This record gives sequence, C-alpha cells and structure tokens, in this order.
Amino acid sequence: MTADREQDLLGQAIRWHVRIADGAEADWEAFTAWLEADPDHARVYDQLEAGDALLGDRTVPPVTPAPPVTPVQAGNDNPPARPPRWWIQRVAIAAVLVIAGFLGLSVLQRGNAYQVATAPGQTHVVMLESGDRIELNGSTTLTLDHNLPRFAIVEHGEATFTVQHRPDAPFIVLAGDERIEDIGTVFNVVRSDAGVRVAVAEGSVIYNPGAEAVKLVAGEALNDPGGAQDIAVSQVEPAMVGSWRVGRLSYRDAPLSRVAADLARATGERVSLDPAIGDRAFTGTIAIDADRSRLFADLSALTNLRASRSENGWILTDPNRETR
Amino acid sequence: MTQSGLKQIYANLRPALIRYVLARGQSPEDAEDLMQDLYLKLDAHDGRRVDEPRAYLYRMTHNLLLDRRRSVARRAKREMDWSTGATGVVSEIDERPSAEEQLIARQQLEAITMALQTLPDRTQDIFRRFRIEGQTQKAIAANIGLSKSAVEKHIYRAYRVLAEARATFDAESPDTTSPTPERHIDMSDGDDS
Repeated sequence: MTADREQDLLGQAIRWHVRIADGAEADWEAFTAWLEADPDHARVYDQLEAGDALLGDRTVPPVTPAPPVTPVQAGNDNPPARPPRWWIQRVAIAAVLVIAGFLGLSVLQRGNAYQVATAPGQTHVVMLESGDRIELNGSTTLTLDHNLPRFAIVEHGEATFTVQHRPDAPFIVLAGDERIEDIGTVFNVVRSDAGVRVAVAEGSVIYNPGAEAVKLVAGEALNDPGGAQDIAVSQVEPAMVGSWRVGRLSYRDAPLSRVAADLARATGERVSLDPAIGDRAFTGTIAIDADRSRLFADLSALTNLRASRSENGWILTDPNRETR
Repeated sequence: MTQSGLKQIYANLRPALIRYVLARGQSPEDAEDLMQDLYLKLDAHDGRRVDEPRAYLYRMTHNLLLDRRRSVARRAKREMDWSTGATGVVSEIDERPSAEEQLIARQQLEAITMALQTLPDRTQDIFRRFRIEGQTQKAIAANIGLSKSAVEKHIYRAYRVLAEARATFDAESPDTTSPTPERHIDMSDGDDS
C-alpha cells in the first residue's frame, strides 16, 4: 500500500462517511458496494470511524414539537433506556473542548494537562518543576500541564504567580481568551464573571501580546471587563498585590462588588451585596480575620455598610438607603 | 411509523443489512448477533414516526456495529490486563470505559481538538455544526449561505486533519480504543498493494 493510495482511499472514506451521515437508503446501498469492492476500503473506513468516534456520539437534534422528526440520527439513541454511559462521556468531552478552546494553536500539542482547584476559603501553593510558584486563592481552578512547565490557565478565581524570567521561555498565563506573558515577575491574576484583572508587584508583564499588547510594570493593574469594553489600567501599591496571601485585601477606588466577591473567595463565606451600591468606590485594607464576626464588624466600620448574618451568608447593605 | 410496521420493513431489509455488516468485515455469526440486537431494539422502539424507515434501519445497524466494536475492544483489553496481572478485578458486566481508557481517550481527543483548531474558523464552525451539533449539510448550507458542496468541502478538510492527527498517535502508542486491532497489523505491513 503506497502512501498516495492510502491518502486517496482516506479521501474516499471521508466522502462516504459524510454521505451516510444523512444518507438515504440508496446511499447505504452504494456505500455497501464500495466496501465490497476492495477489502482495503473497509480497513480505511474503520480507521476513520474510530478517530471520529473519539468525538463522541453525534448529537441528536432536539425533537421539534409534533410531529416528531429527525429519525436518521436518532437511530442508536434511546435516552431513557441508556443514559449514563453516553451522558458522562459527553460531559467529559464538553469539558475538554472548553479547555482546548482556551489553548490556542501552538500551545498544547500533546495533552498532559491536570487541574488544581481550591474550595472557597482554602488556599494552596503549587511549586512547579521549573522553580516557579503559584499561589491559589479560594474558589480557584487552574489548569496546568506536565509537558508545559511554564504555562497555566486560570479557569476561574485568583492566583499570584512568582516566576523567573527567561527570555527564551516566557511564563504564559491564559485567563479565558486573554493571554499574559511575564517579563520576570510577581503578578496576580483574577478571572471572574466580571472579566480579567491583572496586577503586577515586581517586574512586568505583557497582556495579550498578539492583540492589545498592554505592558504593565510593577505598581500597575489592569481591568479587562471583556466584550467591547475598554481595558483600564490603574495604579496599585506593589506591596499590596496578591496581599490575600497574607490575609489582607487592599483596594484603591475599587467597586464594592469586587470587594464582596474577593471576600467570598478569601473567606469561603457567602457574601451578598445590595446591587444598587455595587459600583460604589472603596479604598482601604481589610484584614481577613479568622473570627468572621470581627472581620465583618471591621468591614462594616470601614465601609459604613451594615453587615448582617443570615442563613444565606453575609449581607451588606447601606443603612442610609434602607431608612429612606 | 408503528412498531409492527418498522418490524415488517426490517424483515424485508434484513438481507441487505446483513450484507452491509459483512462488507464491514464482520463474520456471519457476528452479523446474525447484530441482527438479533437490532430486533430487540425495534421491540423497544417507542413508536415515534420514522420518515425514512429503511435508511433509519441502516443507521441503527451502523451504530450498533460501532458500539459492538467498542465493547469488544474493551473486553479484549480487560482480558489481557487480567492475564498479565495488571489489574485484580475483571468485570464481565462492566462495559464502561476504565479510568485509564478515559484518560487515553481524553488525551487523544485533546490532540484531535488541537489539530482541528489549526483549521480556518469557518471550517471549524461548519465541522462543529455537522459533527457536534448534528446539523445536516443541507441545514448548514442554508444557515450560513453556502452551497451544499462547499459545506461538504469544509467537512472533508476537517476529517482529513482529524484522520492525520489520529494516525500520529496510532503510530506512537499501542492503541486501546481501536475496535479492530488486527486491522492495524495489516496497516503496519506496509506495502501490500
């Protein structure tokens, strides 16, 4: 079997595979005839099908309201009778596709990825073989790869990276679709529903080198809300970057919504904030006291908010608004 | 389509279905077993209307064959593990993929996904619609305003890339997911044409 012939047969097999996906009876008959024409046909088709099978079962299109239709793809599917195996597989595959979607083309050739995750209120330190160090705040998930020692994905949550600078191999952090490249440094990354935030304590980083290419130096922070909104760069106290690691949260003109989210992450408590005051600016430092009542009492004093405890965690409200 | 109606068509189409299964390289005994499985499935058929019952029966046969190959490959691997003492427990009943198999499948899937991402966005989009969302070529063509043959070309390119990616890890490691290991020996024979 020459390589050319193999390629030619593969091409034929693909055309058949696509044709029978929505095939009529005549297509199946023609496919049978093709298979019978040469034993190599079945062999090449089997290989193609085995590769294709890795992507999981083809989705059955949602059944439209009466009359029920689309039986062709529904052939081997009988959801009530056999959900567990396929369902689990599909979820696993969906997860992989999401992760892979973040990676871009050149980053991961051969998957050897693993995840590190923390529960709310829990922190964790990862020492990489490269000597680089990553500290995870609570409620944080990172994806790392054994084959790529200078690479991390912040799936969600917050982490501080203390990495050596190597000109030939920058440390790359992905947060969603955003890419952060170090130029030798200590920096903090937060990824949440509100977007991506990066703050630099030492050295510098480049944010999205292929696109906006924002360079941040020590004492600068960046807030990328995502979508069409602009990236904003602000000043931070370098010593306060990643200060959650020493049990302190430090802010300069930060919206209260962010403070509440950080508190929840750092303490593991549920923290709700009256949405009407979410944009109000806060400047100050909050110590993460192990005594939660004292912590929220201090917070209350700092922010002039009322902190009350309920079954659903801590609720922060503005007493002046309530009385009106 | 009533259940009995579908069964009648099945009785009619059975020789053609067996011919298809044989053409896929199965033994006559396996083909008979498969027809038995198919018949049982028809028993459980819930009476949904089937637009093209004959094509539907082909599709069911095709899918059952794929299922069967997966579980045969798994059983073979498990028996091998047992005989080499790699694992202490062999379950005849448990057809679910083991953690190791899932890991391998996951890694292979990642490699394939990476390879697919080298394709232009439009090709990726079309392939995703076809292969993941299960849209027909016709529906895709209508949705994005291309001809059906243009859609087919995109899908074709994606499968080329997928097949190439799979060929690389076939070459790298002993394959546990292939339904037909003996055929891979054929492959490594090289020049047999």
